[in-house]
Amino acid sequence: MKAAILIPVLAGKDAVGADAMAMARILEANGIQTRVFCDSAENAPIPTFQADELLDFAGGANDLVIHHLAISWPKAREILKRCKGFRVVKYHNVTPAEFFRDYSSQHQAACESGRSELPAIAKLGCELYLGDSTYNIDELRALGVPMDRSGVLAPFHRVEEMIEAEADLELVRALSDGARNFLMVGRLAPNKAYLDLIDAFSACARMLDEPARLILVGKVDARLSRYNEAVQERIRELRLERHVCWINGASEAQLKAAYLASHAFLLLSQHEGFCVPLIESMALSVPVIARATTAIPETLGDAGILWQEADPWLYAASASRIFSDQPLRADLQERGRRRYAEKFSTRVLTRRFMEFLEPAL
Amino acid sequence: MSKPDVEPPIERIRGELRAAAERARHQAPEFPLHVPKQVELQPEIAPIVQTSAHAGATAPGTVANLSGVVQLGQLSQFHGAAFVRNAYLALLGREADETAVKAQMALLGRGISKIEIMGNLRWSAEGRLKAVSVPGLWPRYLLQKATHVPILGYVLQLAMGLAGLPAIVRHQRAADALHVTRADAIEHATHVLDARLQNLAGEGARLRSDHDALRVRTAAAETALAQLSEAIQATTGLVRQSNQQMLGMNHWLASLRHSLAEIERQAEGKGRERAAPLAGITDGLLAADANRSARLDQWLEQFAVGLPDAADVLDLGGATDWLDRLSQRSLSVSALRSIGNPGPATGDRRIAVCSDFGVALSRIADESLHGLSVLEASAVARELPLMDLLQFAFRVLRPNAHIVVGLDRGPLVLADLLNARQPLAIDVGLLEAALLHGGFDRIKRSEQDGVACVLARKSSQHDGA
Repeated sequence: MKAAILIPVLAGKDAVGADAMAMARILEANGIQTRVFCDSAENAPIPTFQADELLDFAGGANDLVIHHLAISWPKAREILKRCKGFRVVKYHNVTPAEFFRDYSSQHQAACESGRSELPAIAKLGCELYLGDSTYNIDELRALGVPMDRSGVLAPFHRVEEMIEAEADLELVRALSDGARNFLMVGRLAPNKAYLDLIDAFSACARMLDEPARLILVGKVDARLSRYNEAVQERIRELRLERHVCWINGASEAQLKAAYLASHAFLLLSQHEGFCVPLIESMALSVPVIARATTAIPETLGDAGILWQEADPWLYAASASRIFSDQPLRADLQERGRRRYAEKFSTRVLTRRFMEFLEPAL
Repeated sequence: MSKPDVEPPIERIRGELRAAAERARHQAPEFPLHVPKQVELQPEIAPIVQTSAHAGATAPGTVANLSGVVQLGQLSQFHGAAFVRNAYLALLGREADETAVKAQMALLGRGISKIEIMGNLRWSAEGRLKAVSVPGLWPRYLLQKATHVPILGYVLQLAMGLAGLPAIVRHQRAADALHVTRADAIEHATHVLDARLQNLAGEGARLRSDHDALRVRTAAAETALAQLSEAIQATTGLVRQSNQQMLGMNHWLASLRHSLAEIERQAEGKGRERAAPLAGITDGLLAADANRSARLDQWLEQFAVGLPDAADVLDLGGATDWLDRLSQRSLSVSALRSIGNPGPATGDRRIAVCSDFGVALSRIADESLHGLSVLEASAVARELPLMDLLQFAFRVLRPNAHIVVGLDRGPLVLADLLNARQPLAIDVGLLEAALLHGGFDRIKRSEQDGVACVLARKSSQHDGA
């Protein structure tokens, strides 16, 4: 038996890439010869192969193919149609196009195209469909994927590697200056609702009787310049220029430093298929205050404070309470660590992954 | 561990949070009152200004400053290459390439002032397009440029030098004082550093010692691991060998079972052949026993009461009229006869002839039967001692199962008598006592026409000892 991971772009630092590479590692560790097939790779620490070569390697009846679906890629559908073995689709969700309507026609078109491919993927009749969350897999089930061929498997991640990694101590020292640090990790994109985030942080900074800082760790996409400008305009409007610390394209050491120095993780995102930063916060004991949209409640569970509304003052009041109420803070941190260990640790995910693949092995 | 008294669940404090949010909405100041310190991760390349034209284009790993204003002091605080890079970012909105950095560094090395370099960039063709505003730069830049004019420039520099002499002297004194203070601070820092180095040296020695100890323990652990690995390999070999032997034994046992079955089949055939002539005689004798039918009916009533439908019942002896009665009660009936006394041939499929009652009973699973009947115990006991029978009965019967042991004169006893074999005499009282001590209760004797039988139930509490 051979196994193939099929992914359009394998990016070393991206959540989908981390999931794909972890699956390849686990299959190899179980004695199954595994290769990753893609159109292109960025900073990938493992060798990759051209997607067109997949059928020669793992197209047989005893082989396993796992396709990671996050963007439009018609080629994957054609390849899956011709595979004879056990086919798995891992759905990471495609952001709804309307988020980009006012900011980038390029992004809007890409998302529309990705969404339009979903019905055809659902009708492929693959042996197994997995979603990062129930929210994700329900989208495919609504398109006809049967219950008995579908399940939920949270994405593999690099949280344990980050815990082991050395933090940027200079940055920890610089951020540990007595100010209350609020953290948000995620690329600068409209679905992450950065404008709502800035509003919520503004309320936090106004309510607290001490300095507050918003640490933004996320890649800036030059194609979304209109959105970037809108975010900066909002920062200026609310006179938060000196409160916002933006780390663009952070290294692992800087990311860990940001978590270590932060007092709360603030998430106002409107669309998440899973949200890996939430489990990073849980594992690193950063209390979470988040908006209850899409997959966020499912990922966070009872390990944080969730609000249905985007009212900035609710987030400010929650932060203030977390900072002043030590037992509440300790309870949230403990729940987070426990939830991570029980639901999202690499050991747990590996076991579930192999259980899902049992019929093919 | 939950501490409900001190850690309120989130749901319970939601109301309080909403109330606090409402209060803050109306009471909080319009803008934040407290400002945090600025964080500069890599000050030598941190951009001073970020205009919307190049927003989001900061270098990876840099901390963006979003203030939007360029002051002379913000740039002139940097020195050397950091000054050049920041000047490019602030005035041209882009990173300086290495050639540009080298060229500007060469100018600084020739004594050209930072003001002049900033002015050169600001009023270059590229800088004019960006048109970044730097208050106070223009007059200073003009003055610097004027110093390059022949003769006039020299006079200008002389005049500027003379005019600035008092300030230069004052700066010189301040610099002297600053140097002395810094020298003291450096000396103090050196002492502190020495002390830390000594501590570090001690720490290093301790770490080396720990490292050595760890190496010794690691070596010991490796040795133990190697021994363990050898032991595991040896055990694995033994387990494999045992597996092979067990497989071989399984094959042998299977073959033995086939052989035994064949022997039993042949013996049964011979037994039937031998018993065939008896059938007619015993049928006649049994028909002459006018009370037999009523007797069997009464025993059946007492034996079958309480047994569930399709209950599994085994009979030792296999009188067909008794088996018919059991079958009519919807019981699942089977019977065993011994080769030693097969009785008259009946052709009844329910009856199996075995070479040995003991062997046949040993193949029946524990607690699998609801009832056991032995109506001709005096004939059966010749093949299977009564004590062995009771032990088998206790093992194969379920709790609360029924047993009937009779001293009837049926086909087996008649066959014995006709073959000049005397049936064994069994003391009914002794049988009752044996049942009582053998794990049975509700023992009841029934006598019909001078024929005794004992009925009993397997106790649900007896341990079988």
